[in-house]
Amino acid sequence: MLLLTNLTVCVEQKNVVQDLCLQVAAGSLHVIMGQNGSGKSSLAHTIMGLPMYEVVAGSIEFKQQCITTMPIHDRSKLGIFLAFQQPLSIPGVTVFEFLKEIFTATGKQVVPAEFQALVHDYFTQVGLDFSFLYRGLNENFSGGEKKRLEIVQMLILQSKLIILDELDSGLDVDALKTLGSCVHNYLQQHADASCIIITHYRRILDFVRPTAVHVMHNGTIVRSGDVQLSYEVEAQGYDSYGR
Amino acid sequence: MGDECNNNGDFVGYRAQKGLNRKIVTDISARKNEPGWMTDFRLKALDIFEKKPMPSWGADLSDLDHHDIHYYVQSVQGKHSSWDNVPDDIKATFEKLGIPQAEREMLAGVGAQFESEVIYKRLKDKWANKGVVFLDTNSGLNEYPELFKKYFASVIPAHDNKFAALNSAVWSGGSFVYVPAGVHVDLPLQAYFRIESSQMGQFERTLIIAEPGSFIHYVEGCSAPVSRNNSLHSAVVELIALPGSHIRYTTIQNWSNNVYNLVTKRAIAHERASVDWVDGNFGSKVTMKYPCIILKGEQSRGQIISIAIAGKDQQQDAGGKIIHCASDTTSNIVSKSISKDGGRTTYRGLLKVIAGLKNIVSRVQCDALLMDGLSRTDTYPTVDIKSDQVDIGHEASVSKINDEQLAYLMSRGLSSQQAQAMIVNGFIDCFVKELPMEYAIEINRLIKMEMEDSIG
Repeated sequence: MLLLTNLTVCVEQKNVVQDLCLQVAAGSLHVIMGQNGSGKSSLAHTIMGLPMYEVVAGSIEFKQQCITTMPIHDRSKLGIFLAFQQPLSIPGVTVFEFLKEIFTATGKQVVPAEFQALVHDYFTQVGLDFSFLYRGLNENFSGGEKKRLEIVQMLILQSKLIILDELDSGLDVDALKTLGSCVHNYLQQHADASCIIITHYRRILDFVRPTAVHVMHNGTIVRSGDVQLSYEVEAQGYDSYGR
Repeated sequence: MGDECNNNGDFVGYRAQKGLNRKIVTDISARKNEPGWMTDFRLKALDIFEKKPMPSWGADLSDLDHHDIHYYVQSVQGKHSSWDNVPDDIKATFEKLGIPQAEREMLAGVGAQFESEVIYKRLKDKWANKGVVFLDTNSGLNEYPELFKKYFASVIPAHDNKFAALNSAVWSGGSFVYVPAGVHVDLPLQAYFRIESSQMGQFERTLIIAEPGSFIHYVEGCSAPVSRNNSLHSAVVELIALPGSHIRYTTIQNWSNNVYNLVTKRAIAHERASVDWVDGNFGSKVTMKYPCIILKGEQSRGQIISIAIAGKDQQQDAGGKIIHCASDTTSNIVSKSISKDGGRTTYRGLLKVIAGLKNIVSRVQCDALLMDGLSRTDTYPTVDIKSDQVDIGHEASVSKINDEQLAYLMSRGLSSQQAQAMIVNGFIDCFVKELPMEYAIEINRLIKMEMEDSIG
């Protein structure tokens, strides 16, 4: 589904991702762990296509199509979704209006009563009160509320490649369980959907079934393995991978 | 003088020759069978207009040619005799704005019968029974001469500024509204009649008198672009809010890009009275408009909420003025402006508190949004406080459209234009909330259109 080949990414004349290769098959779940500044978020932003991230070498293929220079919204339409580490607020735009707009942008018809029911269902799944529908998008939301709303958006868009950039940061244990289960259920129901989880800690992995775990350092993957690797990392820390 | 019923051209009606002189002014007055005092008033105003220099501050008016303008046009029939003759781009705009077919025809100048006339008649009767007067201003002068004379030009005298003088000399059309004591006009007046107002002349004169304890919400304009043969629109609007009354005046105007829109609007609020100006400015080449409220009576309150959007080759020089002349008065100004494609917006405001007052509360907030590096915005807030017991808050912000916000929205599948429109609609949300529902929907659509086409 996703194929990164010798990917090197530059932001403000600094290489943040260096000669990285990764293959994510349909239906698989990859975990990327690493220290702060190891390039995990940069990699996520690059796959999504955020304009600041310039691919200076290598390529990104998604569903056998080269998307290295594809604009961000077209990648979304192809099925790539990024749950941001720090979702931005858009004052004055209500959550409901926003969700309706992005739903419409997928080409689906909004039937008001059905859409309302759909949104209520998703809000219930992520544990967000309906009153948030009429608030400004992420305006004065807590960290956890923002993360819940990111997962609502994932459900609305029914994406094929889900990238979760530190979904677990700012979440308490219960919230992590709720959102982890949402993601797990989604992947169970969509057998062809893939997922990349970016995290410092392995606790979110209790709620999902990773296919592979990678450790990133200095912009590239230095070690790959199965879920066992995540325990190793937790026990030994990241320092041992730096050398 | 002028061309009357020119049968071989499209134009049917009367139109004064270009330029301005005493003969033309006398002629306008005579055509309307006005009393002598009004003819004198007009001629005096003409003298003032000719003597006053062009404003040396504010927007650039150097291209405005006073001699190349018809100062009086009386149209018997619209410009287009049938819907089929209306230009396609205008039709497309109406389509995008979602304006009902009947209204589209009226807005495009197709003089057709339409259902709203029935509603119009019924509502008019209902209000008439309560003593509410809603007439075009010329009829107001004829039918209520004493009331008219008492209040006309009492808030904005002819010598107020050059363009108020011009309007005073050549005014035609506009609305005359009188609300008796204690009567609440619960529907926004004009919401059903906006079609008529869109066909008003360019020198309309509106006078609204709210007797003690009454309430009226008056709405003018609509979001459809209004094109004019003449490039100068210079209106005068006077509001008199008598003790304990409340006047709310909402304007949505979208002028074609050749129009100079130079408007003087002012209200007087007596004891315990409230006045709200809700003012949306779109289109035009140059707009200069600073709605004003004079808080004359104790415990009166005034509010001015405005937005201005300037695109390519457009200047929106707008703002608000509040003058506190009595104790225990409160005021609030919220101004939002958006500049794009090299357009220029200016906030020009005045907050004045005369000496010896107590318990004055005022809030001023002006926010500007720049869509690109070519556009420009300036803020000129004048604050003149002569009393001590005042609580004044002033906030101003200028923000550039935020690339990270755009990227966030686009990562959900929205195009760059859709994302921009969403951010802009969010930015002006506090204005849109003040509008009647149908207008709010139109404004949101209008913003989307403005963002889709680089020139609206």
